[in-house]
Amino acid sequence: MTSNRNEISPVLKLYKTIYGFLIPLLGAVAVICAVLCCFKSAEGSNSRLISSVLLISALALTAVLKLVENGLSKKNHSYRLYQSPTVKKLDPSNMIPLLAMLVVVAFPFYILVVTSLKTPLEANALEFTWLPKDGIDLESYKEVFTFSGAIGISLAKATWNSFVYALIPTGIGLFAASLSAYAFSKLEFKGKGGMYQALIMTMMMPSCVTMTTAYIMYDYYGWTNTALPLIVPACFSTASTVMFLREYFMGIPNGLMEAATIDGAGKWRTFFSIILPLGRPALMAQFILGFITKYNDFVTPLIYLNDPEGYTVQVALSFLDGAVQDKSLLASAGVFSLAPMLLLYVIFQKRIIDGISMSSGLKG
Amino acid sequence: MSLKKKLLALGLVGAMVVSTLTGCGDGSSKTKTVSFMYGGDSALTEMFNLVIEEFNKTEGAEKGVKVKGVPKAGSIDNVLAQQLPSNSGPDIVATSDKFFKKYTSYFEDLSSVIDQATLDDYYDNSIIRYHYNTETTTSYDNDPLYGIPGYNDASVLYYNKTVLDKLGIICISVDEADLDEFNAGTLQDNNGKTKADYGITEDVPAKGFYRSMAPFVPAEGEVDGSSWTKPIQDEVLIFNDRIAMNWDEIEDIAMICTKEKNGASTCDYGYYTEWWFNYGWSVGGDCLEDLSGNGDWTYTLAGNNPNYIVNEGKTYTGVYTGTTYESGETLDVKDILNAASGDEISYETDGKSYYNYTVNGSAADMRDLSAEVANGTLTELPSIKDAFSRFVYLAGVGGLNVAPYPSAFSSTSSATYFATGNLAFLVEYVSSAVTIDKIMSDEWGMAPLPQYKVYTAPSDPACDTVAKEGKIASQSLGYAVSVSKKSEVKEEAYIFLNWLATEGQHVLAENGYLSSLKSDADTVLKNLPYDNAQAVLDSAAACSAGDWWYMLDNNWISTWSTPLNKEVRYGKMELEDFLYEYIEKTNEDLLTYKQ
Repeated sequence: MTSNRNEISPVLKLYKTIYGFLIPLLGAVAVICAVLCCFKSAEGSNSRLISSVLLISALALTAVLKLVENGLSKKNHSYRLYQSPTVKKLDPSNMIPLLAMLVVVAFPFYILVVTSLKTPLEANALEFTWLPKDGIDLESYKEVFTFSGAIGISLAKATWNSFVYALIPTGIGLFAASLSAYAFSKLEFKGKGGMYQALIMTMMMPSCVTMTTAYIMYDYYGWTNTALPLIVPACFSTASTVMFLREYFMGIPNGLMEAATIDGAGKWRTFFSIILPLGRPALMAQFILGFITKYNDFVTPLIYLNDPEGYTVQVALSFLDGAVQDKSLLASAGVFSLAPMLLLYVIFQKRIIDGISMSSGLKG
Repeated sequence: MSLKKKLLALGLVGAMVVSTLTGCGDGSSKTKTVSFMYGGDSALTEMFNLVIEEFNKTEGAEKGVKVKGVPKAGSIDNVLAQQLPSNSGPDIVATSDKFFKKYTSYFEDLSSVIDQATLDDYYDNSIIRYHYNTETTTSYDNDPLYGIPGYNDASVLYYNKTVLDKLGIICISVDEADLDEFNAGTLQDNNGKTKADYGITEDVPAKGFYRSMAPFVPAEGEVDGSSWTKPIQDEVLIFNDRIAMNWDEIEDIAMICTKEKNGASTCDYGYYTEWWFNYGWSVGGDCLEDLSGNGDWTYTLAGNNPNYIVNEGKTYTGVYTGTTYESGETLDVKDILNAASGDEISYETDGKSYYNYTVNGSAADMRDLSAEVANGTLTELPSIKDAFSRFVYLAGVGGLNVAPYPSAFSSTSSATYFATGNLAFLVEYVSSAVTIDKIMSDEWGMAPLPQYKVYTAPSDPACDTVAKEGKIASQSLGYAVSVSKKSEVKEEAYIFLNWLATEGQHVLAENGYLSSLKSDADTVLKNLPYDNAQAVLDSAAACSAGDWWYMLDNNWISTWSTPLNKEVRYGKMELEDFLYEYIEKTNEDLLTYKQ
């Protein structure tokens, strides 16, 4: 069966895009709410009622979206579900190691979520319980949302700061990395090999080694107590991104570039018209990975930012980690800080997987 | 991408940058802003915010100084290491005792900034810890003062009242001075109950823990509690949270509360204290002594010399140091040795079986203080080695086994261990009460820390006449407030510090926190949000800094605490072997601090 995507109407195309984003989200919400509904509410909490309402809403919305999609598809007869002829059914025996891997990877997340839903007494008990025996307690989530007044910044503002400090350098840095990768992969110049090796060598140096010297340098520039040390250096990208993109760009046939050159394209034109469009999956994957790394960074904002209004969500949430740790509170903070990244993954999962698998040669 | 989209994207990026960087500037022109950095959790942040807010409203507004809080999450050690040497670091810093000495070279000497009357009003132990001589590594009155106490988190004994109730232990709350009236049935205790309300028929003696028939008194050399017996059915058990228990009493009640010793208990263990300080300090000993008075620190946990305390209404002048010791103070080891002023005191050890002090190179004799003991000036107390041994044998192979092994706290804190009902008694900081209260479903309370105390007839349950008594000793985690040498607004910073040293402490006291000033005692007592505020206040008045404060870092502690916690407490090494084996290694470490 072959795809005939060019014939899909723009309305259906747009709808499919939105549908593709929303369905996994609603699915995740429905699964979480279904699990929550299985447990009684802790004393003074109405978590079961809220979960039930959310579950019904998610299911209803899914049904409506599906109905609309069916209606639109019927109208657009030329639409056919794309299915690659190379996709084969997985041998059930291969599922066992995959499932084992899934358990290993998902286990910490499960512990985190289930601990965040327990009462403080149960969450901190020596004996770990796999399910909340004392009922679901959402008080620690409430505390996560209200504690930050003491620091002088709302959690929403801190989350916004995290996004800004992550988004700007990731975007600009990715462009810078793609230029370097283009040069290292497709252009010939003197000292290319040595420069690339020098660049790769910088990856071997742990960031903590240069922390003090970097601070002295930024202090000399007058950048400390501002967000500049978080943004500007990252705009020049990282060696690992350059290496990743170089490997990907090297897979782009030189014939395409030669054809472009014959057609009169210069190096910049080739970069913008051939390399960037063809490298989109890798760029997308690197963007997401880079964004996640910067979003999760704790030490850099902690050291450089002194104005609470500029704190990131990771710094703000770390105020909950007191001398006496309440595990339910810490777990709730962990879930909160994880949520935007999970959301991002749910939305962009296809592109992330495409980018990673293509660059690693899984799709040939 | 169309031009419109590009412009829109650029506009969005610009808006994001602007929105994030707003608030970086300082709008005021006449008011000078002073930055004040402090680290900790949200509760500590809230406390410092309260002080700053009050200052900005009152003294700050009047004098044109605005303090801007810079809260940092958790330990700010990493942040200080970067920011204090830089030109953009904070003007004022609050550092915990754990890092204070490490950064004193970046702080201004405050000796002439804070007036003497204010310094005199501080509890002695809360201010002495911020004197420091960077060359000699000593902390005496005449050494420079690099910080003032911002907040002092004292330690107290938490107890699980629900567990005690279930075990038939009656929890009363009566001050020693009120016991006669309570016993007469005419007085309600601090819980609002009379003796009859509790169903007590006999007289309650002035003891932290009273057992009517067989109180635990270990035989000489007994460390495993083999002579302890479980309470019998009609035995009356009374715990009084206003009187400090002695070592026998806390061990007795801890064994009653330990499941393995008493099947009726729901707690895994009866008692846990992470720190040996209230044992060692109570008898006047310590793990380090300055043998020259000039920063020649020596590891002394193995010291087996007796200690002495000055009795009530008496004073004693030390022959070697010339110090006049007041009532309740314990003598410096240099005044216990038979040494004259100017003699050189050192030590000798073979690293296996003995540790002796030397005077001018020869084995030291103990000063003959029998006359002072006989005339009631001094009371002899156990050695630091005996006190430390008593602490170590609370847990571990061959010991009492009433305390959990250190590995129990690899994935949880001792406070959560207590709060989840696994422990009946715990020595912990007052600030932990908030989390303990949140987690704990059982009823809990606070009591004074155990203290060295011996009755004239220890085996007589009714005897409460004290023959010997050590000091009330506890440790606290303090936060020193210091001014950075690189600050460009030092005068304004000093205004804040002077306010914090006086008015700021009153603000803390009025808002339910501990103040470091003696003059705030009544206000603290009135406002502390705990039933037994007196126990908290008594601890705060007596608390000193833990051994993590003694030197610039904790390397010298790791040398001996690692084998202590990993070998001695697991029965892999004898306590005696441990005490002697690590003397030389620790002393080698100590030498590096003076260089």
